[in-house]
Amino acid sequence: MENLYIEGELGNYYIPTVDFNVETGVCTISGKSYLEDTTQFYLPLLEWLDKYFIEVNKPVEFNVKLNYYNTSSSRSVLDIFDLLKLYEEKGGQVEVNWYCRDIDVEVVQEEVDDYMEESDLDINIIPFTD
Amino acid sequence: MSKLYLKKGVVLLTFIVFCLVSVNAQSNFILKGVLMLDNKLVKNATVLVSENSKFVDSTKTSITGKFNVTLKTQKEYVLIFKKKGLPVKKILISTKLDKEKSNGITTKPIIFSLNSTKITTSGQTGGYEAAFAINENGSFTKNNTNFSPAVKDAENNELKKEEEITAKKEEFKEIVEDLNPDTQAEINLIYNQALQKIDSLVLLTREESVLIINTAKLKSAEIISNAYLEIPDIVEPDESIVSSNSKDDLKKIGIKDKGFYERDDIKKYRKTITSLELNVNKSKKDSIVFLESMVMFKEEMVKSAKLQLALDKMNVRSREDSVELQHRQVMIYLVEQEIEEAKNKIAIQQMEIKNKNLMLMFSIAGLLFFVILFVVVYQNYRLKQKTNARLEAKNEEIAKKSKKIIDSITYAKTIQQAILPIKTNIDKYFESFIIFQPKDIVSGDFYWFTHFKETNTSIFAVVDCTGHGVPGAFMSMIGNRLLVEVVNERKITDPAEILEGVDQRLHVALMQDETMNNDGMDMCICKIKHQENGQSEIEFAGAKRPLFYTDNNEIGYIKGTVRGIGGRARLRKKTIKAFESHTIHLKKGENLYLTTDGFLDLQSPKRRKYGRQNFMELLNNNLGKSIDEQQSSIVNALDIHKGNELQIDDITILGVKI
Repeated sequence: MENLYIEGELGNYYIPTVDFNVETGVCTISGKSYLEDTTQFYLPLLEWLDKYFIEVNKPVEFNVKLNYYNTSSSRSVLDIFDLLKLYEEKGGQVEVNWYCRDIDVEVVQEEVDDYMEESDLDINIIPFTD
Repeated sequence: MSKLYLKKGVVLLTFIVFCLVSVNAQSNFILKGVLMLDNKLVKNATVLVSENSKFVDSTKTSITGKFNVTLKTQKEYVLIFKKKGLPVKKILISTKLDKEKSNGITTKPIIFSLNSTKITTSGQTGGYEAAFAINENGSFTKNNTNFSPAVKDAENNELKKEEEITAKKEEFKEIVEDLNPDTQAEINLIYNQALQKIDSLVLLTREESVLIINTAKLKSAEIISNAYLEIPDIVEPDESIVSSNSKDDLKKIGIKDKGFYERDDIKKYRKTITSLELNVNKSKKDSIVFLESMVMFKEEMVKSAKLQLALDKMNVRSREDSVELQHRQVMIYLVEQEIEEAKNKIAIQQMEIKNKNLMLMFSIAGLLFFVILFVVVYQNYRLKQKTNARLEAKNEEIAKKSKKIIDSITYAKTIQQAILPIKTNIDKYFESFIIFQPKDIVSGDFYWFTHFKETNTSIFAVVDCTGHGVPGAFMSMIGNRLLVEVVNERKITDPAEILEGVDQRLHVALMQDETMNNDGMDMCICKIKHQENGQSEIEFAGAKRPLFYTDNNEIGYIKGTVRGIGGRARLRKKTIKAFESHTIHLKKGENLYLTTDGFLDLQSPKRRKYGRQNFMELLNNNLGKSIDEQQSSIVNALDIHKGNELQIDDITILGVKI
């Protein structure tokens, strides 16, 4: 199984940078997510995680560093969280971190709360100074 | 005589004139001569011929000192030699004959020596260095010459001696007369006998010495003139370099080896020379090969000649031998000069060829460069033209297509506008404002309104479909249709039930149970029912969307259910969260605000979302303002927040005054 890396891009649409690492189990999605076909983009990410859970079956550290995502992307991120929750329920070790600028914590907190409520997953907010 | 000259060490200017005369029927003949100075050939000297004080001919000596003049018989000529830096010399030539000769005349070579320091005196030679006359045999001989002081001295000495002898004789007679007759007779007898003996001896000595001197003079003159006669005639350097291809050439330069021409290398050179002789002026390349062969051939000749010369020098026996060797040395020198000249010529020609080749190469390279440049530039130009044409066509096509699409979407917008509630319809029941700013032409957002007259109930909804632009617009059409189906047709008016109904129908419509489709919508929906006490009962349900409202100068906020409509999430859940309805009571004049996430998520240039808190503050600031003022205040805040940043989502805000 190989690492998954997708270089981000800011054009007509915003493609987030994806960096999923097999060795370390650290998976990061960063940048902005606003895509033409959101489902199509996120499908390989879901498949990769699925495969990782079966083949590697090691702890996963999932980091979200998105500073913008549209309604569709939000749904796909939720799909990922649902998948992580499923892994956790099956005994997998999952850690989810949501990075945001300290000035945005208040706004992000609400969004993350919604995600936690919807996915039943623990998500740590990690503020950073821009 | 010659020895005497050498001993005295006098610098001699030597004019050697040898004449080869042939007399034709008209008594004209050509006199050939060679002019030399101090054993060196005098070249380029002017030779003037005058007869009876009139110039009849003039010529110049060649580089070997040779000259030819045409003379007539029975005349007296003066030959004048002039050259810059040398004294002018005159020679008298008499061609008077007792009897005309019709046959060719062959003359013996004549040697004529002049002392350069000697001042020309008038007299028998009349200011001439020398005089020559043609004799009965047709040969030129020295005539009445007085050419050397030594000769004069010798003659004077002889006269003096004769006078002395006569004086002594008289003295002797006087002494004898004083003696007795017997003794006289005896002495006279002895004297006469002695005198006779002396006379005969003197006579003999004189005759013998004259004979020996003359013979020697003639001999040396013959040898020297023979040698000069055989100097090859190099007329002009530009004319073909002497073709030393005959057997005589070997003799001239003193090569005695008869096998010289049989040598392989020499054969090769001569073959090349013979074969290329005709092409010399036609082809530079052939000319060079010809000259190179000539040089190598002559160098071999010089080598052999020098060797022979060195050998012969060891065997010199007589003055004649030595003179001959000197002349051979001159010959060798001349050939060496020729070699040098030929080498220069080769160098020049090679340089010319090289330059020519170089020029040619440069020309070809230049031409090639220009051709290539032209081709490249032309092709580039053609390609550019083609590309430009293609691009233009493409652009035109794209513009056409783009226009078609835009036209199409713009028309779609009118359809979308048609399904949106008509503002005047809402105005019948409520004061309201609608901020509807799609990101693109058509929108993924839409708002919805319906009114039930019988129950005096109004239902407002603001919906945010997944996707923007056309896909969003399609979703909005579905959403609109489903709301009509659920609310207007099924008469379901409880907001939570409406959301459930739409969700179920959307799953069916998009076959989300069977496909990967993850589309859906977030929605906030309000049911407003006027009550008799003047208050209104507001029932609200939200699918991920909240409700903002005013209540007694405060801003209220109800968070919707954390569950979207449509999408696959529902498939994975064991338990699906039910949509919740909230009920509030508001007095007349209070406001309700339904929004999509467009404004709250709108990012400033510093990437900051507007956010719920700011929005609630904005609403707070608008408390007590008219619905129109509120609208412009919100639009203004939106514009300020957005700045130069692009709007990346649809924005919809619906404000209703109860």
